[in-house]
Amino acid sequence: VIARFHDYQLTVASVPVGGTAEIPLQLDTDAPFLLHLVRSRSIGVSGWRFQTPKKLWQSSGLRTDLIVPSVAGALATPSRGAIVDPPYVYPIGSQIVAQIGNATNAPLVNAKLLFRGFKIFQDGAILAPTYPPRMSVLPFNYGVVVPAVPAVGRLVDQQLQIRADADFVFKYGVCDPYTPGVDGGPVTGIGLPSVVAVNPTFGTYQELYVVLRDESRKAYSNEPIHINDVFGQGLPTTGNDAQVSFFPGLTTPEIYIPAEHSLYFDLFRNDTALNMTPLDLNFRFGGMKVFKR
Amino acid sequence: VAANLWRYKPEWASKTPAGYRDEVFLVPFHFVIPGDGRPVVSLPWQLDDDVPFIIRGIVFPMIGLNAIDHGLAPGGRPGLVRIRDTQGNSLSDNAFPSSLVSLFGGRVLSLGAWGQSGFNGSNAFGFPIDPEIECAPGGAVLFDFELMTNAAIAKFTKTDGAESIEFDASIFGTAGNAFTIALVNPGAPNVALSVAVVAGAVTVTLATDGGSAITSTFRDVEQIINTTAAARAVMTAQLIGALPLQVITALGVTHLAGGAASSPVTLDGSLIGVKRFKEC
Repeated sequence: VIARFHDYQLTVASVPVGGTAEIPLQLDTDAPFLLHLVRSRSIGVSGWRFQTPKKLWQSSGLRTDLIVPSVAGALATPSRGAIVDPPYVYPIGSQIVAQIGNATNAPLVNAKLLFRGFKIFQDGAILAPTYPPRMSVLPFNYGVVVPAVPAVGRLVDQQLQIRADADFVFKYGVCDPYTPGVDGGPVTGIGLPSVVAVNPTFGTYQELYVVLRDESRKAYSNEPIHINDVFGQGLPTTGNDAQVSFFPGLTTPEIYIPAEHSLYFDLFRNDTALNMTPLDLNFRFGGMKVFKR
Repeated sequence: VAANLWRYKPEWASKTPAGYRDEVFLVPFHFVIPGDGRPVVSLPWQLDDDVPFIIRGIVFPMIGLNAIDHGLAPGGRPGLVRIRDTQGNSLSDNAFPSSLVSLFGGRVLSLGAWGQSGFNGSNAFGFPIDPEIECAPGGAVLFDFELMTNAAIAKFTKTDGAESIEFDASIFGTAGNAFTIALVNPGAPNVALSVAVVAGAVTVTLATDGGSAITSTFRDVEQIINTTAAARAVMTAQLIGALPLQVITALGVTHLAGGAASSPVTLDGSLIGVKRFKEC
């Protein structure tokens, strides 16, 4: 069979005080889905739970993937997510039914539950290049710079094009805002003026999302995923559950890209709240080169 | 099948070949390079010439730390890095067709690639290099760097009571010391807020009411500088304090100060791996 990395995400625009009932997340009709990680965003310690493929709740009550503080009075901190092991396999076209709590006295806005895993295809069902029988491998990083990502807007079809010398296996990704500067040159740091003054190399972002796509533009997620969940930051920004060492963003299973072929990604940003300005985004696609022998 | 899929993971941790013995070995390296932000390429670090060295990881906090403020932080600076093994294989590249490829020469931002910053700049565990790399005895690992400059930015802070506004030069180094800022009280009624820029001199004419009293606030001044391209090309402004709507007072022509040239940067790190001895 073929295992293809995939993220499903359930987004609830507003969770009312007291929480929500059963919210279905519709899965695609092309392949079963193996779930091995769940991560929440903008839910806090209000908690969540979901149903297994047999429509049984996976936990007896609402649970959290946040790290419970060990010091009295401290706040819970975001984690990399709750591991589901052994994993669940959801049938083609089925649903993941979730429940999200809200223990606060105000609606939770833009609450998200990320279900990470992979789709399972029969051999030959999709184009799935993979390792040659004989090979040499070399650890490798491809850097892609996407300049001037606007505070509001989207940039589609950003491209990681693999060199001709070897195939590339994408195993993890990192993304940071970064703009080099030289002595005597302009302070090119872009972002909030306060950020410019503190450290001109870095801006910041909060509402930045990404969709990975293969060369035929088939997406690796059902909707844009927060960039820190796909490309963990070397320098995590604050806010919106991003202050977490989700680092680096792991693609499990890895994505195999033949030489001279490409991986595409779309960026969606909506950072109006804090008057944020354009950013140069440095992506690092980590993995290894595969040389056929 | 699903369970097998989940358990399956490419296993690149290589075994020691038959007839050989691996011993854990660290190769500390040390470079002092200009901190001016310009590329420095092909810096060699020679390995021992006795047996092959197998690289399995790197600890490189000096290039991974989150430098807080223009050379004042105790650690190093984020930057772009390229490493080549003893066979000359580059371990990174820029994926074209990025428009910036030619500028970076195969160097990629080190954070999360070769020099892990980790959370809040910590670097407790190093960074794995997987699969491992076998380096020839006596060979040299080559490093290219392009760090952010650590030249200090000229600045001036104006304070009225509990509120302050900081003006920062938009250029690194000593050149910013020549820039000036002035906040002018027009002394006339109903004048609108405006900004004028002549070379490196930024003059903000403050707004007044019908009685010729200044009405411009700290926030007004901050915003007109940051949103006027000509002014922002000289300096940026940021507010410090909790009273941004406080009316600001005039300021005579004042030079920004404190801009300083870059200084050398020390980069320390270690390659982690094993030496591979042939059993006799």
